[in-house]
Amino acid sequence: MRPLDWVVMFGWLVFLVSYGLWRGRGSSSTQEFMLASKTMPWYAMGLSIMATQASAITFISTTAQAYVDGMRFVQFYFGLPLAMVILSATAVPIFHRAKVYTAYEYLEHRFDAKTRLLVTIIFLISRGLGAGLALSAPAIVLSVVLGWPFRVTILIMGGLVVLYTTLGGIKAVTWADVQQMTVIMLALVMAFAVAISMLPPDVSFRDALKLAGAAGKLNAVTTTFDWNDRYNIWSGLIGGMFLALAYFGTDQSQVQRYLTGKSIGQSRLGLLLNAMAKVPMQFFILFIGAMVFVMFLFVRPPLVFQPVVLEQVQASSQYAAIESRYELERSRISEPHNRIWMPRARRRSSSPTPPIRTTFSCPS
Amino acid sequence: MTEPQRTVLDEPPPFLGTWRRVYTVVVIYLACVISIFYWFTQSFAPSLTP
Repeated sequence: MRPLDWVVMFGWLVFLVSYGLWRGRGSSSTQEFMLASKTMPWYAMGLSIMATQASAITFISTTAQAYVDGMRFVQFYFGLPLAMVILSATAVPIFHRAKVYTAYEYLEHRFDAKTRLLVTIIFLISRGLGAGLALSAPAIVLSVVLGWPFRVTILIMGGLVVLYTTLGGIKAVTWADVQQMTVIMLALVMAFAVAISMLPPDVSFRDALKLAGAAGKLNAVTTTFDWNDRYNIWSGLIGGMFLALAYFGTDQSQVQRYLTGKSIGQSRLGLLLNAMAKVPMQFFILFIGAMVFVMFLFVRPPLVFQPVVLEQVQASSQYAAIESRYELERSRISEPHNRIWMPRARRRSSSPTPPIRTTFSCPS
Repeated sequence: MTEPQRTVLDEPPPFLGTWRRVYTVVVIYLACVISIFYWFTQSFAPSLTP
């Protein structure tokens, strides 16, 4: 990491925590801490809802999913806008009129305290496990980038989040989510630009699309009904809708967001922002994965991204044999009569074929 | 500690007049998005013919 990288990273972390604390200042009462005194605007709620649903796993694993399996995972989100409409029409007014502080407080009003306690315990256990997993993914990335132990990066990230959450309450969390969502979107655009810029000069964007399509990576919609196919339009619309209903309608991490709206209308608009933006966003994330797949047709992919693991693999006795076999296959594919695809621009031009890049280095 | 009484505001949407119309627009929007994705898939689907 260069000094500027350190400045950007720590500057951003300090800004994120400071901004969250500043926005959440004065959250001393229960109403302020849990509901932000019902003052949150719809766009902040909407972005916070989206940021809560997303995690580092979304941006690391979803792109990887498109790399391996294509874009069909996007269908999983097709039912989400329908669920947002149903929840806006039903759950949002119910929760607001019940004047509850949490989703599970409503269960006590509707049933009894035992039901509330049981569901709360289940939520805390499941959310604790989920948060642990969501925290571990960026911790791995940070430990690789910084060269720090995994546990240290987990403690730093977890500590920062706990700090602004406990001091600033839901207001701090929501505004921090807005900042994070903005940075995430910028980072996605930059990742896409990097993947495209690393294509050879004579491979156009349309060529990249054709390559990804030929490899079956642009399979965004499957209309055939198959019980054994996890992702198709039907499983997405039906299964995805019920999953989204359960998550956005009963999970405290989401319900808390739209309970902070100053009116039922503001909460509805927050949910409907999610309904409109989520599917295109997931499409874009998966599309980045497909473009990274095309990029690695021309740039040799790293064996593994973690330097420590890579060193262990390189030290093994089988590594040299694998490496020589790879070089043999690569040279065989590079032979003109074995080449199955060539960009149109390259076929037209008489310029010699540029050498395939065999290294990929992360910025140090 | 007693919390202040909260009033619940149920206001019409800032556009289209009624929430029912807003929901309809969202559903139509979803149908358009799926249609575009379907066209995208078909446009770049692997060709089965040699």
